[in-house]
Order: sequence, then C-alpha cells, then structure tokens
Amino acid sequence: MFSLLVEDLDTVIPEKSVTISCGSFDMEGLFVAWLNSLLAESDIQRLIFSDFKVKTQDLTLTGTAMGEPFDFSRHQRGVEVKGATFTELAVRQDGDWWIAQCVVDV
Amino acid sequence: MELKQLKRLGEYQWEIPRDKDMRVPALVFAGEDLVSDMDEKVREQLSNVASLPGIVKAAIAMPDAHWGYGFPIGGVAAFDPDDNGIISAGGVGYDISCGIRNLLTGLTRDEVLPLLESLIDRLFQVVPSGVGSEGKIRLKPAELDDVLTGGAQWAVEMGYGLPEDLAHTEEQGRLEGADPSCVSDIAKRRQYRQVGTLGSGNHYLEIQYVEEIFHQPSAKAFGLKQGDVIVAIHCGSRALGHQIGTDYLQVLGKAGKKYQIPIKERELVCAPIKSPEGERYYKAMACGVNCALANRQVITHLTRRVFHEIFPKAAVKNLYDVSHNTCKIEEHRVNGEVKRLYVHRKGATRAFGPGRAEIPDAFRDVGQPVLIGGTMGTCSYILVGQETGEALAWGSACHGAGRSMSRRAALKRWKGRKVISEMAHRGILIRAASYRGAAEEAPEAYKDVTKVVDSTHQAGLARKVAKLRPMACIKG
Repeated sequence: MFSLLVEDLDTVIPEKSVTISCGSFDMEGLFVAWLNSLLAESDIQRLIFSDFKVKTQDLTLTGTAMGEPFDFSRHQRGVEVKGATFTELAVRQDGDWWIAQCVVDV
Repeated sequence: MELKQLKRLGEYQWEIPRDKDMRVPALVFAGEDLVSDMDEKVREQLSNVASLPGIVKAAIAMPDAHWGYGFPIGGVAAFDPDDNGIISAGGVGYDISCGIRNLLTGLTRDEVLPLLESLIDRLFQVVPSGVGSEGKIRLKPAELDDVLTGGAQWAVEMGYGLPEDLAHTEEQGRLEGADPSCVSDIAKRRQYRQVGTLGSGNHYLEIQYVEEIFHQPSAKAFGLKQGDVIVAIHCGSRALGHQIGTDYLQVLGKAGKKYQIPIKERELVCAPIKSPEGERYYKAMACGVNCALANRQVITHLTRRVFHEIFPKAAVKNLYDVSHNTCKIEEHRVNGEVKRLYVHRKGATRAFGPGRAEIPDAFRDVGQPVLIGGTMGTCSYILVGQETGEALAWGSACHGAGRSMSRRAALKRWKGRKVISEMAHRGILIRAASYRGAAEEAPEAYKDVTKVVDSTHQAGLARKVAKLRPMACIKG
C-alpha cells in the first residue's frame, strides 16, 4: 500500500516507530481496519511507513509501523490511497503464514 | 455486459429484470456500444443494490457506469425512510462530495494563450496538489468543526472567496444536518492541514476553452460563449471524507448485522435511515459534503488570485459547483405522490430540470448546470438538467468519462513523462505532482466522454450545452 504513495519504498528508512491498535467485527474487517489505521497515522504524523509488525488476539490487533517523515527530495511522490476496502477481501492462515488481501481505493 | 440478459426499453434504456432477491428492477441508461462494454460486475452490483430494503422504483446506472465498491460508480438509488429504506456509505463513495466547480474567467482563449505557461506554472505553485501536500490553512479543532458545519459559507466568511460564489454552489455552499460530533477525531486530525488542497488520483485543476455550443439559451444563461476560458476544479473532501467512509464501513457493518439486513457484498453495509447508526452516518456524511464545498471554495480563491495577478482584467466568477458522490434528501414524485427520499448518487451528478427550488435563481428557467469532467487529453462538457431526467433517474446524469482500464494496466502501458510530453506536443500543458499519476490518468485509459455525454443527452437525462477543450492541467 505504501509503495503506491512513494515510487520506491526502499528509499524509506524505518527510523521512527508508531504503535497502532485497532479492532473490528471479524478477521477480514480487522485487516481492513489495520490498513486504514496505517493510512490515518501516516497522514496525521506525516510519516511514510516501510516496515511493520503485528500481533492479533481475538478481534484486536496491536502493531508497530516503522518509517520516516515524507521528504520529497528523496521520496518520489506516487498517488494517495483513499482507503482500504472490503473488495476482494480475504484473510487466511497457511501454516505459519497469514495471507491477507484487499483492494485499496486510489 | 451481455445484452441478451437485458430487456431493451428504448434506444438508450435497458432493464435488468427482477430476480427472486431484487425488490425492484435495475435500469441502465446508455447506447448499445457503451452497455456492451460495461463489465458484468455492473449488472451484478446493480442487482445487489436493487435487493436492498426500501429502494424505490429501480437501481439505476448512468452511461459511464463501471465497477465500484458495493454500488457501481455511475450508480443512483433512492430509498424511502418510511419503507425501512437504508443509507449506505458504499452508495456515496470514499471521496464524499467529490465534485466539479467551473469558473468563468471573463477571458478568451486568444487572450490566455500567450501567458498560458506562466499561468499554469503559477497555479501549480499556489494550489497544493499530490501526495503529502499541505494547504496554507492550519486549523485548530474548533475551527475545523466550523468548516464541517459551514462548508463554503465558512470559507467565504474567512475571506476565501466572494459571497456571490455561494449562490452558484449546490446547497448554497452548506449542506444542512451536519454534526461534527458524528465525525471521529482521527478524521478531523487528518484534515487540519488539508483544507484547500487538490489531492491526487483523478483530481485536477484544468484550464479549458469553450470549443462548441450546442444549446444557445442555456449557454446564455450560464454565461458561456465560444472561445471563453473556463477553469474546472475537480476534487472532494480529502482525508476527512475518506476517513468518514472508512469509519462508517465498520459502524454500518455492525449495524447491518444488528438489524439483520441481508447484503450480497460486504461493501453494501448499511443501516436503516431511521436508526441511530443511519442518522449518524448522514450527519457525518453532511460534514464531508461541507468539507468538500469549503475545499473547492478555498481553491477557487487561490485560483482567482493567480488569474488577477497575471490578467488584471480577469473576472473570475463561479459558474456552478456540483458534487457527484452524495446522499441527498430530496422530494420526488412517486406514483403521483411527493415523497421525501434519500437519493444516493455515486459517480453521478444531480441534474435537476427547470423550476426546482434547489437551483440558483439565475438558472431556474433553464435547469441546473451539469458539469462533466473528461480527460486531460480529450474534452469536458457542460450539460443542463431536464425535467425528463427527474422521471427517469431522480434528476441524475453521468459524471465523467469513466475508466475503461485499471490504473495498474495504465501504468504498465504508459510512462508519465511520455504522456506529459505527448500532451505538450498537442498544445496541452500538464503539471503533475507525480509521473505515476500522469501515467494512470492517460486519456486512453478512459472511455470516450463524448459517447457517454451523447448517451446522457439522447436518454433524456440532461441536454448538451457546451464542449470544453483542455489547454493546461494540474494533476494531483
């Protein structure tokens, strides 16, 4: 998602960390809530995130997002993401991995 | 869309017959080629909308309809609050009150052309656009609440624009019923620095000229002459609107379960209009509408200043400002009786015909201006609402060309720099905050706006008034 906001996410240094908690009415909703919480924090704190860690318990997620402030001398602008949506939404566990997907509105 | 699954009601009108779940049929207004090109998902989504409680008459698609989140983009649906009707965030869209404002400039193409490059460069400096851009206005919490209740009226009171701008803005620049306490703190915090910014994606500020007039009496009422220079501002409620949409998808998701509303797609989550959740969504959405109206008003002010700087004789006036992502409470005639309905228009423009009280005095005899955005390489249109459109589609028309290709596919096919240089060869100056954005917005990634507008005209939804050609464009 953040690779849409800037052209090359590798140029974003994960030097600042933000803790985010969110909840929803099911696992799929929780995934969308997490993505939308990231977008909101990115906007409010003017940070672009490139590294993430999450833990879920029941229908609550606690996560850490790491990144740095927008610097348009180094970060080439992409497009804004309006929100993560319920479209093509799927969350499943595959062994040790969680696979989650949805369409984001730009 | 497979034509054999549709019943043809006329040259430009098709019906998706009711199945066992649909409470009403669905209607598609478009010529045969546009309907054939629509994806199957439009049919599926319209059928889903037609199955929602309290829907009146039909789920309706405009000629530019395409796949959307829950409701198709280019979708119109009216719900009756007295018949368990619902309100849905998916029927409004994430960018609440995204819309177009057209400004008259009092200048002709010949007068502007010699200074076009200076004009667009200066506008690009002054009107913030693109990811991460910030407006010049910094708001405190109480001030933002004033924006959400006051809309463009707040902006004018703060000195951003002229009182006469409001008379030519939908709802006179301020939608009643907004309650900032229904908007989350996160939504508000995201907006403190974004008032007066264009955004990105398909948002733009474009300098255009009137190439052709189709209907002289309406053009005269709108103040349009061939060769006149127009400014089109296309943007919405920025991060605040997006966050309201996001927040209420969760709220309405829970409400849908509570009220046991059967939905066929998650993005159709909704609540009864007459429920605490439904009422709160309407009040929050009205805040989003006011935020968008304030936003376009501030951009108008910035644009006007630049015009006066470069062309001292410019007379920048608001022709009209109309949104295409809203839910409005409107009176319409249903089976001979006037009813108060909640009309969702998502990627559809209100297009009221002559006589409606909602239209500014100056246009009441001809109908409201209907502003249709094309692409940076083709053209845009101004139409006028017609009485016939009210019976057909609650007084609604198309909103733009509508994408024919996904952003991803466009990005694979074109490079932003090349798109910009090709436009320059054609005499259209593009200033883009992002090359990616320019590639995604390549004119060929959209349907032919002329076909869409012709279908709108032929179907009787709105009448063509003027064709506008782009001269220069700022893409977010």
